[in-house]
Amino acid sequence: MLKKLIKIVAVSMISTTIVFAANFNAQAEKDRKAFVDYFLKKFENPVANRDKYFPYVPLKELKKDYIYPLKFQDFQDGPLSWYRPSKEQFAEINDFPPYEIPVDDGEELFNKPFANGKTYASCFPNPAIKQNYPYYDVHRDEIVTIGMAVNECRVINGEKPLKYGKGDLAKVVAYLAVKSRGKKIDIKIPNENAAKAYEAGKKLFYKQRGYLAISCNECHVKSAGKRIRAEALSPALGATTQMPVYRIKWGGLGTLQRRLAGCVKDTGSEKPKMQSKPLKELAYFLTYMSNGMKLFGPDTRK
Amino acid sequence: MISVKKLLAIAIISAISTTVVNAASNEALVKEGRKVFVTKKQGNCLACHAVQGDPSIPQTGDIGPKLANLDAYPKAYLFEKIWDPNKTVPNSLMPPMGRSHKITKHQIDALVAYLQATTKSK
Amino acid sequence: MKKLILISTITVAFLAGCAMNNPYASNGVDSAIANAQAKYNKAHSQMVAWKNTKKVLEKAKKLAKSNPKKAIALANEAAYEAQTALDQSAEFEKTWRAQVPK
Repeated sequence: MLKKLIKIVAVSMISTTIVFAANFNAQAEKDRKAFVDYFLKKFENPVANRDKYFPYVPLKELKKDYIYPLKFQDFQDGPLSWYRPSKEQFAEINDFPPYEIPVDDGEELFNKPFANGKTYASCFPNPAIKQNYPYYDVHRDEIVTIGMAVNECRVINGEKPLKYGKGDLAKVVAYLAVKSRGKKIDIKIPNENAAKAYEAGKKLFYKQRGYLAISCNECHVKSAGKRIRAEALSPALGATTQMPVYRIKWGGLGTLQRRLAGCVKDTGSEKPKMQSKPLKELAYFLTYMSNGMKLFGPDTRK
Repeated sequence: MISVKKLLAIAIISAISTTVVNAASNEALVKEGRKVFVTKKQGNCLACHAVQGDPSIPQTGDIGPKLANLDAYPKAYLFEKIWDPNKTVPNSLMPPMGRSHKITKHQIDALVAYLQATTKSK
Repeated sequence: MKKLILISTITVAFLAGCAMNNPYASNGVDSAIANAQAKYNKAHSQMVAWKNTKKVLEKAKKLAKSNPKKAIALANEAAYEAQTALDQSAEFEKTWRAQVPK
């Protein structure tokens, strides 16, 4: 009898834990499904649904320049996913992808021994890990980004950390990205603080800011699939699959955080610092939104 | 003593010249307004809007409506809309360029003059 | 005499009224800069400061001795920007959740 009671208590405790564990991402999952759904519907048939989603885009242009219907994974291509002129232009550029040389550099850096004789492989025995970043480390109680992981590997091995955002760090991340191609993004929300970090990132994404009083959402959800001047606006869904990104404007690679910081600054706000809490939270939220999408970075952008 | 005729003539001449001066200054204002509209560091309005009656503006965006028939609206309404659109449309996508002091009141007046003159309904 | 007092009272009241019309303006270069600094610090700590406000404030500080009039104008502009950023943040705090796709 007692044994049975213990068994029942134990089982109920385990199941409670499971329920709680599932609860931490309940809101995020709801958000993510609605987010994906919005994009799929918006790009299902822009011509037929012009009134709802593209009221100010000339019909002629919708018919001529828009690629549709877009499926889930199609959003990996950012502005090239829907805008034919950009897609054609970049197909030519990517005949000889400008990111290839920096990726080769990244591979060399990855395999070059540190002063202690070890390499990055001592920290990343399997380099196909980008799909899990950024992740919430419950022991450290903070978000760990792939850039942090690279630098921490260096420090453990007695090397100086690299500058975040670009340069050698972005090259190593690009190599890891290439090795992770085809892996599905898998961001988890393991506890309550992780859920709070997700919510903080979500707020940063949706709340208007800067002297332009605009938000990430206004340009990359609401206005995704429209043009600002002649530039096609990229959908936020899938935005992190292409990272790090080679930007012609930069003449080099940049990490997700570099891109996000630039975007925040474009709203007329002070530029957030690399690896600052809010920027990591934004990256965490945004990457979660693309859960289940296959990585294929790096890619080339304007 | 000034004769009535002379008085009348003076009045007419001054009326005409005022109109001429007004027309000239309005023309300058319209020209200035167009510059505010297309200049990235000023209004940068073309980033989102095309203008009915001014198809020569290159590479206009399509986030906001193509501006048309704005002479049908009172000047003060258009001024407010440009100063801070969130007042009339909460969460408007349009930046509050006046409230943010990115363009001056005079520049907004110029924009209104330009838009009303250019998008006139016939 | 009585008339003079009345007029001056009205004038003072009028001027005070003017000053109150612009809540961000303040007199005296030091107090203007201090006011702007406090507002900027608040906006910055809430991560809502605009990208040029600090620059404007620094310029005001630089000109405090050589051109106090210009310095006050710049400090008041920085204060206006910081306060508007804070005001906007409070306004959007009420509405951003409605923007999340449901």
